[in-house]
Amino acid sequence: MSFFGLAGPTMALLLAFTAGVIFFLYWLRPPPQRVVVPSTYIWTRVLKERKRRSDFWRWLVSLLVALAVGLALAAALGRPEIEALSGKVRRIAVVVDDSPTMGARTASGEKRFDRALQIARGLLREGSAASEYLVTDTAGRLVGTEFGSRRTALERLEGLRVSLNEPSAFPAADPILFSDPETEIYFVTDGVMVREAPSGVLVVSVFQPVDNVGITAFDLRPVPAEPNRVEAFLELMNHSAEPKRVALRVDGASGQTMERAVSLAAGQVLGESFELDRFSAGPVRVLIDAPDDGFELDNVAYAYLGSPRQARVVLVSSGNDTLETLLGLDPRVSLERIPPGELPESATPPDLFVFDGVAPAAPPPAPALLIHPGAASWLPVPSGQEIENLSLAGTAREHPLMEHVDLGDVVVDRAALVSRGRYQVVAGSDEEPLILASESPIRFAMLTFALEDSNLPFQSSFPVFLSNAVSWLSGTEVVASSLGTVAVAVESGVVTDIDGKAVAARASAGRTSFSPEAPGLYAVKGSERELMVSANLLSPRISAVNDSALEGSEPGIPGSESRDFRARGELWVGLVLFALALLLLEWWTYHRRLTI
Amino acid sequence: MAAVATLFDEEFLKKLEYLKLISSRMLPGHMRGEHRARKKGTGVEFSDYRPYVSGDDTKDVDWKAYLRLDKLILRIFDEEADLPIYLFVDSSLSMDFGEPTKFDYARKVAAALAYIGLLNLDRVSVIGYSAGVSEQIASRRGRNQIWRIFSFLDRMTTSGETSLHRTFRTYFGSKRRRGLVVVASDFMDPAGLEPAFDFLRFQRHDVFNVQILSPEEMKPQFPDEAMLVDSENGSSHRLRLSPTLLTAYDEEMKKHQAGLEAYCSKYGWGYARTETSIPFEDLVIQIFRQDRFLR
Repeated sequence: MSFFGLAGPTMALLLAFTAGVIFFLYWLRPPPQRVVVPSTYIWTRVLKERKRRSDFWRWLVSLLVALAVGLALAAALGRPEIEALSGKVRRIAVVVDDSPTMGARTASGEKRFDRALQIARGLLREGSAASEYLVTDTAGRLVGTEFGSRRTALERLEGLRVSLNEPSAFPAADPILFSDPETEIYFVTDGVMVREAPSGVLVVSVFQPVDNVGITAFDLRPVPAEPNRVEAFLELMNHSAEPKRVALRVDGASGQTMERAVSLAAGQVLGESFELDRFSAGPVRVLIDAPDDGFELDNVAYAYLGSPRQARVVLVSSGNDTLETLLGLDPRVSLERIPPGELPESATPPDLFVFDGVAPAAPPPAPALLIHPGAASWLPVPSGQEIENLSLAGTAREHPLMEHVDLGDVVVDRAALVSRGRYQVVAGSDEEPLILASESPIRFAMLTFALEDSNLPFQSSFPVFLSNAVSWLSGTEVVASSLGTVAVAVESGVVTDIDGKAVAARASAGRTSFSPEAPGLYAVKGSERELMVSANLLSPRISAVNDSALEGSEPGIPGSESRDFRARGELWVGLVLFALALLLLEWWTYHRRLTI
Repeated sequence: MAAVATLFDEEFLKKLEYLKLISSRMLPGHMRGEHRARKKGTGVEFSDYRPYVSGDDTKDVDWKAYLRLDKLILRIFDEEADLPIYLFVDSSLSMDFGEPTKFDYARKVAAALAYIGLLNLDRVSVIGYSAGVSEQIASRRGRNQIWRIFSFLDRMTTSGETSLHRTFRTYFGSKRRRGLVVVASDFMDPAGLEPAFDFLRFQRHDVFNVQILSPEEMKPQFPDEAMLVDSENGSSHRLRLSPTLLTAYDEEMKKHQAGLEAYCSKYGWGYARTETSIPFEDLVIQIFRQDRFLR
């Protein structure tokens, strides 16, 4: 016999404790109360006619009944199983798809993930007590766990949640999962994010079509021609099978609201923009409301609107007309020029430094744009070599520096060869980085080449690039992130949500990481740096909750009609019934004075 | 009289007056007090004539009739005899229970009957008994004796076990006139009642048994498990009270009462049963209704 609900020693302790308590209570029975009556004449006549039973035997029977009841109930708590009744020994592995689309809520109100857990529990309980069980997931949280008891597997299952991180895959490389060819592997999935499973795996579908209109993009951008004006850009997708009328609402920090209603045909993608001239600086939230929407996570998105103020820019250069002219033309920029080596140590640092051909020995007290700066300990390490004749081959289009920027025709005659290290490559040739960006130790962007060694200044996109650099480097630092785990380059930062509530965060290697469970705007405040994180789902792939490889199949395990998922050999129900029957018997005998 | 104030207070005396009225209404004429005896004799009330025979007392000869009829005619008068009433009050320890106690209740009943008896010019004796006659007041006659009886009853205390048989044998062992024997008791006599009653029956007494029980005896309420101790002899019984046992007790109690009632009925005796929660005057009226006490 094994116990499914409690570990063996705990169960033994519980049984011993129960028996001890019952015996102690019976042993402690107080002596009968002495009652003086006028006469025992009638009582004597009554008792003479009744056959006297030994009190000890009645006490013993009563004690045994109480012990049987108590032990049966205690044993039922442990959910015992008898191997002989529960069938052959099997190895059962259940892989639960915990990708974001499993959070979709079907017409019945149940989430796909809840249904998946229900099926997984049924699969686990179907096996015998002596079988081995494994639960793992597609987000990699449980990959590498060993086969074990059903109780352990169920405990692991209860700890699973829908993962908000996009990457999800069947753990095909998990050696433990495939260590024994006899293992029965079940994969419970909606077939959206994880579309394939290795052969031999029995796929259990929990897919049911769900109406969903989701936000797949949301951003605040300066109007290119008027950098002081900002507009919100919104992209919606209708993944429902029928047209939807969607109410849009954009909320500002000071109560400003813009509402709009749009219609989307089935499968339509729609872009909408909102002019935020009336909006004050602070959080901006967009909400959509579509009827019968079954996926909430993509119905809201957050962004942060920076303060529209003059940026004080200090250009440290021995003379660069192009830079001076372009920066001077930006209406947001108040430009100061100083020659190299005269970096002021004023009390009020500027909003942005632009270093042309020079690099300060230590990180400056404000964000910086560095153009072919040379060597400095806090900058990407130059190898001392230079490379020539490079053409720009790739850019990180999602980076704020690259918005509306096309550098496809840029040719660089000569550039410093630097190690890309932990810096983000914003643009580069096939092999070498040409434009790098970093958030640590300060926010900076660096060109590895001098402007005069390239045709970049002659590109039509260069003023836009420079404007993006001013916006990104001098504005409030806002990091756009997906849900799941977010890590930002803030040392020992304290994370708070939009309402000021503290969010659990971890600090390691100079970075602060936290796990937003829902779209929101989070402030990360470190000792030297503060930034905002807009964590949104914004994923066309996730919002496409009906794009399933299992589309059309009925939910449930194949052949589930004939399977009731109830564990075989579980005795707890019988034990409880036995205890109830004994209690009834005890009640009956007590009132007839057979027991005490 | 401080003693009178304790048990037979003003309230009690008012109730006695009430009982007096009730008794006179129920049996009009009898409050004049005399009980006519069966034998003819020396009374003052004329009953009949008969011829004179030798040996008759010449003072009863009707001389006017002799002058008219020239025959000696004797006037016959009913002899007026007082009825002896023996009031037995159980003073055993078992009577010291209930609220009020059965003993107090019995004493009040005895006092009321004694009062009515004295008003009827009967001869009233009050006897306290337990294992035997414990105390008694000699036979009294006349309403002015009521205070002595009250005082006697008030001084009585409870003690000892119950033995009716021994009591009757002791009391009626000496020569006593036949009369009405009233026994106020719970009749919980371990030796049984029949020997005692047979003794009274053989002596041809008229008997009225008043069984007084407390509500606690009728519906016992103990803990589930109890050690019952007899107040008289200290014997004990350990028992677990259950509905079944209570039912058995109830049945046995009824059987006991029915046995007593059946005996009384069989020999034309009076029987009344009461609980101490019932006002004693109600019991006395019930006794009147049975038409034995007042004749």
